[in-house]
Amino acid sequence: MSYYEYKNFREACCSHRDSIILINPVPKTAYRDFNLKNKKEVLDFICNDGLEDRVFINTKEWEKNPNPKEGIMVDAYKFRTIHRLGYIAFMYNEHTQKWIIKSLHLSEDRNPIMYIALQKAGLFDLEE
Amino acid sequence: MNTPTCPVCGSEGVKAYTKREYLQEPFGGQTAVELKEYRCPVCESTGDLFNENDELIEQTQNELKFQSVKNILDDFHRNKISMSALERALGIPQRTFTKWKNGNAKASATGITLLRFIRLFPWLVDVAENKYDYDTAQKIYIQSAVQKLLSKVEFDARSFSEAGIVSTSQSAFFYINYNKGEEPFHETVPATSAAPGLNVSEATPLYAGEV
Repeated sequence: MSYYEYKNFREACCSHRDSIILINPVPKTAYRDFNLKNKKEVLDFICNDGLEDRVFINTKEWEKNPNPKEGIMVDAYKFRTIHRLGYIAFMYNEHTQKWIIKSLHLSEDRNPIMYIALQKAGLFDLEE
Repeated sequence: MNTPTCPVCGSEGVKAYTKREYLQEPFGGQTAVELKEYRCPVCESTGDLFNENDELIEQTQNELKFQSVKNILDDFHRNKISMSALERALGIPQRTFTKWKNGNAKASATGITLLRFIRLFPWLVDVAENKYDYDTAQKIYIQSAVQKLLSKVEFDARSFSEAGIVSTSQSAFFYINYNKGEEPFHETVPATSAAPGLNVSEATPLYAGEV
């Protein structure tokens, strides 16, 4: 079960954009893998339900949290956009009241069945 | 002066630095921009932690997009395709491209996408000229593919006697018969896979003179 309500994250992407931070390397991978060129495009994409067929993967504690007593959890999801399988991970810091997008890139753990099917159909051009 | 607080972990001591990035747009080239980023020494997060770069990035991308429109339209002009003819074929109001090129009107994102596709696949203009008829579009597409293929195959047109396409249900082969001295030989060159739903075996053999 996810730690955060996804709809809260999405809502922040739509309406509270200053509360969202993209840390490196998100801008680079978002452009490389999804052609999203800046923060606005990333947030527009998430806000407009661009993360299709979203599947929750796991929740992990943020390893670099300097205050481990106040645990910050990271939720990770897989998603699909056209024929690409993506991965997003985000967390919320209560103290700073910011959502942080930690990762946004092609999924390294692709569903092999879907991947093979898409590859056979000649629709996959993923190179990571 | 207070150092900013890291919005990621809440620690003090975030340090600013500048980073040179190259932004690019297809057919628009690239431009270097100096972005201001921050690094938190505690959680080691880096990036535009205070949302300061988006405006600069967007402005630069808009400039590159304008340049890409200009470059594409210049390229059409060099290839003797007038903007007026393009607008007519595509059903776009006359002088639209001129306004985009001169900066009198801003090209829409959709318009830029259209221009890029036409720049990459000029035969799409023929498809539009033929009112998007599916069968005609397929012929135009195949003809364009064969022309591309022929340009990749090295042969001396004076010394081959025949060329054509044979196909199976899954693939198509382009072949050329050469006359080499008195002993002709036969060479088969793998061609493109057949487009879905296209029965290439029904195609008339394509001779170089006709393509």
